[in-house]
Amino acid sequence: MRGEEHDLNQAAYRKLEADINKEYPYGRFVGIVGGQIVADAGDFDELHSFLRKEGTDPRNAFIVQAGHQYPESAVIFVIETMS
Amino acid sequence: MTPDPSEQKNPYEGNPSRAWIRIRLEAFNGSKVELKLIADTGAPFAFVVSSEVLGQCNQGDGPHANTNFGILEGAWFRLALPELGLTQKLFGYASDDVVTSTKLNRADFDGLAGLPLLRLLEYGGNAEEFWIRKVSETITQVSWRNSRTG
Repeated sequence: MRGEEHDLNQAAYRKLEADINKEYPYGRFVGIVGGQIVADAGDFDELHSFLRKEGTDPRNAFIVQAGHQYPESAVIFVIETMS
Repeated sequence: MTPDPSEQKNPYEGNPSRAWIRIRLEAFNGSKVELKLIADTGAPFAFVVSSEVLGQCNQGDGPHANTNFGILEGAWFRLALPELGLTQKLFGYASDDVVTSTKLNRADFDGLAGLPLLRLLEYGGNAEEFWIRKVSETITQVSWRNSRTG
């Protein structure tokens, strides 16, 4: 589990998801840090560079692509659960 | 005869038999991690790997997903499969419970590959093997033309 920063950003993303999909062009990369959108870029590496310049390790930033559907829940059928 | 690197033909393995593919991810330090994943065209995730692989290869955090295996941690990864035309970043997931279940099927399985990854390639199978190969130039051009014409 990734901790408080992830939980904060995950909650912020689910609140902002509709706005992100409406306000940013399809496919644009959006970075969320501390529960807020801090950067956007047309290219993944460009967003990484920007985050580094701002002193954020991009591995800890929450990154989504506008218009992309990230499943909130799903069932995996091909293998069996342990319990 | 040297096998064509732009194609994988993998005999079904495991108990019960599973289709599988081999992929490489680029670690954050630039090294490569090779993984053998069960191919599951019904899975809505590009792939599911272990938390250890996530720690090595994570390129950015992302939304998690709730499943019958518990929470899958979402993250950005970079594919390192130039022979198959795949060197881009891709959103995938990590779950040790999923990986453990694949290993019950066969010890050297490292997780699952789902439709979002498989559809970046051509894939198929017959009675003996499952195959993937680089998308042909013709198909790429037709797909591009279709996407332009709507």
